[in-house]
Amino acid sequence: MDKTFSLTIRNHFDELSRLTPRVDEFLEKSDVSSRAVFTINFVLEELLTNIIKYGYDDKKEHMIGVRLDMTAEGVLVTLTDDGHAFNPLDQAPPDFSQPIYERKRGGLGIFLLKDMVDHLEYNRRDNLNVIEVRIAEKSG
Amino acid sequence: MELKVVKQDDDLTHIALAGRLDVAGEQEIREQLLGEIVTRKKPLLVDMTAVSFLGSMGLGLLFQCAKTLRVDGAKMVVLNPQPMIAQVLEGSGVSEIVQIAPDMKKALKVLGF
Repeated sequence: MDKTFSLTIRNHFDELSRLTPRVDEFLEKSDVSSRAVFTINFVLEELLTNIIKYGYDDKKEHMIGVRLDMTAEGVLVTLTDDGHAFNPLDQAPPDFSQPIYERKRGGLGIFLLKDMVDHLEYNRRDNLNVIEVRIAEKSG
Repeated sequence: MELKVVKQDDDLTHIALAGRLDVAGEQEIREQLLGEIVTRKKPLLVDMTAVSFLGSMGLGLLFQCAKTLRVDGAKMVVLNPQPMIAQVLEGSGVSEIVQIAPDMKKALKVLGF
């Protein structure tokens, strides 16, 4: 059984539809819990959407690396892109002191994601943005 | 993502969604949901039993529906979402106006029936 999944996608939203079934197939073969499958899908959608929307200063085609590694603790998701230095985790959270109708849009996806995963880290290495997310597999 | 109109009358609109409410799914149903369903201005019951995923774009769409209906005094309820989807609705605070019901009886009660 493969312990690693790796795919490079273009910086277009329709690429997410190409990625998702491949990720789900890998996770199913790896016997990952439905909770973790949902979380990984949420992480990928949120972070890749942010990279595609905000990560580039030009209209050119760019490639984004998506990697999933099965570890003893769970699943490690690594996203790598060559956009400008951009940490999607820096986005300000929603202002929960405001009634929901008055809150500004934005920040909600990242806010939820931070609560759903066990570890989240951004680094800039060799002119690349690298985001690592660990989703633990809890027993039971 | 599939949207099916189960019932629409003077009392309410009842729809069923199936599939992934992700970036692509949101685009597929957005026009019909906002242009035809919400514009009826009736209480809205959304059966989410067959929805396998909800991302933040889909969450935003549900919130937009509820917010628009609220202006006309109509409530919105989602029926039987899977646990992780319920968690997203609750964690985001969207469940304050998009209430969650585990069964049809409770869903109709939320809408005032």
